[in-house]
Amino acid sequence: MTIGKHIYVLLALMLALAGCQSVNPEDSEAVLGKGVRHELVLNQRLSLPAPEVYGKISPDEDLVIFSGRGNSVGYRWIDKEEVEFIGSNKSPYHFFNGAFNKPSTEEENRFLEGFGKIVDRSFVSTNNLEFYLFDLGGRQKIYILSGSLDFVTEITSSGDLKNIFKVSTQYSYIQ
Amino acid sequence: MDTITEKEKNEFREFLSVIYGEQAKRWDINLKVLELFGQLIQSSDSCSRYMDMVPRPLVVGSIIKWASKQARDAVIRQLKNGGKHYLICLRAVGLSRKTDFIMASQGLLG
Repeated sequence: MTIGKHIYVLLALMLALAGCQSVNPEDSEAVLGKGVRHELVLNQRLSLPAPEVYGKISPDEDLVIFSGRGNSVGYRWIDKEEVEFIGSNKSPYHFFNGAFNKPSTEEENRFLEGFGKIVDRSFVSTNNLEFYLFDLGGRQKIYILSGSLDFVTEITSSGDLKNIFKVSTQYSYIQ
Repeated sequence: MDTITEKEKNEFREFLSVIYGEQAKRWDINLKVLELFGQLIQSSDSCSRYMDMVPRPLVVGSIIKWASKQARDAVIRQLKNGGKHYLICLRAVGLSRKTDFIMASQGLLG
């Protein structure tokens, strides 16, 4: 994985429309679903609604973090190379689908062990995409899977993810 | 708090790179990163069989005082003495925490 190899972020459009100064960056609920929707396109395949208000974007090899005052959201893509690195020979889709629905391998069970206690979970399937939201008691995670994609997307935030989950299920699509 | 030395940071980067790959060697090691490392270590019962059977400060239930150099030295010593298979085992356990580590290394986690 090289830095920025698979990332395709519509930065020009986002920066051109970055005049959303009236929206409080600390309110992660307010940053999505306002007016023109900004897209974050991962690996030139998966389009997600992107945060509309942020002060900094930090792309890394397999991750892009949007940061505003007091809040950060990280979008990470997990490909076959990483799934192999942890010891599984499954595709990213089958590894995560298996782990979330019927864990059977040692790696899937260890992955779930790393979650700790699952306080709550939500699932939505739409548009050939599967969305999983996990409340792990103090942190939340969203995972986006599809049998049509060769990677899985994980969303992490220092704040609440429920609204990001809701908007993602409504506006995400595979290109 | 005892200042984390550059030598200590490099030791922890090496451990984290076994779990997360080479990019972990670029992470800044701060107290929050070490706390996450402690949580990761203590979140797995299934990997504990790979750890040496010696008295260990990493036993589930003990809280590692990362601010203390003595505690950090004990963890480093233990992981260097036969902890590689244990760290490899933690790869699957740690998969869901990678973004947390990156955010913490950038000072984005409280």
